[in-house]
Amino acid sequence: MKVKIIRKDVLIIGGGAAGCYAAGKIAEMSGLSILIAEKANIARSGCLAAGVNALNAYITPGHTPEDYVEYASKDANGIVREDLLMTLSERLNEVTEDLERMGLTILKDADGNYVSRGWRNLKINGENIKPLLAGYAGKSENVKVINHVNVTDFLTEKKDGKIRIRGAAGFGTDREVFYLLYADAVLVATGGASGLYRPNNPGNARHKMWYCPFNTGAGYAMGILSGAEMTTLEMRFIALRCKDTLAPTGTIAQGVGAVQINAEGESYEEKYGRSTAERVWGTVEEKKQGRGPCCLATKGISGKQEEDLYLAYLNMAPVQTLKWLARGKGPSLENVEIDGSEPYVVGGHAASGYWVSTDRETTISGLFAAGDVCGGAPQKYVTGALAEALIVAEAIISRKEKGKTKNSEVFKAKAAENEDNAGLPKKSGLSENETGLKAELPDPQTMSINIEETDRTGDWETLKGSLSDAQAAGILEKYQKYFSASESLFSVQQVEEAMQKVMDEYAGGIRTNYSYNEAGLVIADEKIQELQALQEGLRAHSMDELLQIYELRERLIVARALIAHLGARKETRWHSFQENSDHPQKKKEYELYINSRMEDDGTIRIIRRPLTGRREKYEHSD
Amino acid sequence: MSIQIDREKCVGCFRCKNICPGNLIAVNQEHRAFLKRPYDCWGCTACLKECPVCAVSLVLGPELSGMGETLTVKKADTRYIWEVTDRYGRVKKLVTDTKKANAY
Ligand SMILES: Cc1cc2nc3c(=O)[nH]c(=O)nc-3n(C[C@H](O)[C@H](O)[C@H](O)COP(=O)(O)OP(=O)(O)OC[C@H]3O[C@@H](n4cnc5c(N)ncnc54)[C@H](O)[C@@H]3O)c2cc1C
Ligand code: SF4
Ligand code: SF4
Repeated sequence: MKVKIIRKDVLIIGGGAAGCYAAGKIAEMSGLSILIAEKANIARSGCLAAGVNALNAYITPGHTPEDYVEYASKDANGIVREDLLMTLSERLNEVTEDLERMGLTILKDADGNYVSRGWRNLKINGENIKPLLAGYAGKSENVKVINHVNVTDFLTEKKDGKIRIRGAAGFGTDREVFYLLYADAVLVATGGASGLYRPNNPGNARHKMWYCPFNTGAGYAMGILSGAEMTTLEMRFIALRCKDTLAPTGTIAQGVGAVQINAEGESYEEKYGRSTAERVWGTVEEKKQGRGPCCLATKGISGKQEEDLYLAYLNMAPVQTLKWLARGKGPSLENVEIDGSEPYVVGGHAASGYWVSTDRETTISGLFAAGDVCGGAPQKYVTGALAEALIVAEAIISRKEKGKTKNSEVFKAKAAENEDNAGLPKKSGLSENETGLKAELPDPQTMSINIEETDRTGDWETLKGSLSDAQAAGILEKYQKYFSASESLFSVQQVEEAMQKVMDEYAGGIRTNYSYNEAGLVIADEKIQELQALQEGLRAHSMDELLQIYELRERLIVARALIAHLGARKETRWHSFQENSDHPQKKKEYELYINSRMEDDGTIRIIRRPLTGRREKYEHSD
Repeated sequence: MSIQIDREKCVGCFRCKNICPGNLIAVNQEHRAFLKRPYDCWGCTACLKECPVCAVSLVLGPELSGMGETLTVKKADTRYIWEVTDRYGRVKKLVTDTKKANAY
């Protein structure tokens, strides 16, 4: 087996929408060297794998970014970071134009203006949006991409009570290679978390879910374990989708103007309200009261409309088209049944994720967050994720430029890290001076370019022994532990299903119509901790099994933090998303953010913070 | 939800393995691709689009009220040529074009 050590100016964890765009932007605007570490392959990884159907966040003529902030804030019942919403809304149109330059097809009218769907939504063909973003990131020489590396832990240091990022560690999903990736600016962009709850289609189709089943909450988990502050995890996202396929419904609802009706044929939306959460809640209530199933009334649409729907779905959720055609009954003949999904934790739709400054820096200094992993700003969707990536790119570049003046300090830190390589064979052709190891302080300008890459081969003990970075050696030891554990009684899948059952029954899953109470949460917390103990004892026989063990580990950590957040909001702020049956009303005293931080002893401490204003620039102070 | 790989057609090029967002595909000693855990497939069709010999199809299982109907796709420049085989064995062809925006 092998350990690969790589140093760059910037490390990006997760090459999804936000990660790819940030890499391309940083490369375009600076000479910094960038590494993307991606669990799958950036060409089709993450939420965008199958394509998307629209750009859900765009400011059409006659509207302003303020309008968008207003809308998103109201939809989330006021619990948003308006500074984050404001700064991203201001960049939505800029990133949209960038997408078009990359080659994304956006529908235009005869005068060449974008055609919108409502006032904040553009019609596109989003099938190839991910390959386009990957191409944009990959085209710069300063961007190095490592596909198929699963990042599991941050490397940090604690100085004067403050935590600072140093890099991250991970492993190859298909090769026995362990990665130690160093950079003093890191962007975490691993998306949200699915698979915490029992899914809509348990069993053989368990991953036929709406959110990406491979975004397992790694970014949240790494942050939680490193002591980063998280916000609003309790605002879960439950998607109202086409039943069984979990395909998006907006294309039908807005495309052919189909309304939601119950089994009696009544349109019921008005009764419950039209916010994102209320639409789910209305459907749940109708079913509870015996008026399900609920549908989108498409019966009677024209043959042309039906054909257009088939094509639109092939460009984002092909299974839906297959389902329609399989039975020879399309939406013109049969209404499309809708249903709520399992609850997800996803900061691109709801407000859950890292607690960040207006610049998107987390409470771990040097660590930035963007996209679904970043909290505070719901309704950001794909363009909002890109806008955040742009904000991070600018913040990192300006930080680096400022850093140049006091570079000797940075260099000292770098030199200390470099000790890892002392005593190892130099890369051929490089003098000591060129590697920058024992030389005098190099010119800060050249220092930033591609510092180095080292490979080491050997068995576990040799590899661990060769590392002077104790934290890195500790992570390697953890990986090793899973390989050398005695045969486990249970499979990963068994423990995962047990976790989903616990969450479903005691923490507001589909089974309880999404509502929960404190008595249930106490049981959930206890059981999740038991399952964490079982997870720790699992044995891996291959890198693939190690990957599955880590995915489960991440989900369990997120589940624990989520339970703590659900318990801390002693009101019901959003129907279905956070339905606390002990406190079924909204309460004035909960007009605040529920944040949390994991203490050194593993307990989760709740922190309550006052709401931030739209024009405020928020910086971390404690 | 799952895909099926036609062993006769597969040429073991690793493209599907390299693209799957869930790291779910492996290639065996006989240079044939296989899905490691069918229940973990998302149905995103990335592997279908990537296969140079159209060896991969998406199959609709009973959990999604299917009876084994299939979807296949072939790339031609900016176009995708899709084929659905329904439960009566009828084939319907649909063509999408990445240069053409959705109507909805
Ligand atoms: C089915 C679906 C349809 C959608 N449709 C639309 C739409 O029509 N319009 C719209 O505007 N928005 C849409 N969205 C939302 C949009 O896709 C997301 O908001 C956006 O992709 C978020 O970007 P991200 O970079 O945060 O996450 P992602 O794009 O999912 O990227 C996360 C990346 O991190 C990688 N990763 C995860 N864990 C690790 C790890 N441990 N180590 C390394 N890498 C890791 C993943 O493989 C992935 O590449 C849709 C989302 C889904 C799920
Ligand atoms: S359909 Fe998607 S998730 Fe399933 S095997 Fe193919 S690439 Fe992987
Ligand atoms: S892409 Fe097609 S031919 Fe290549 S390995 Fe996969 S199934 Fe076989």
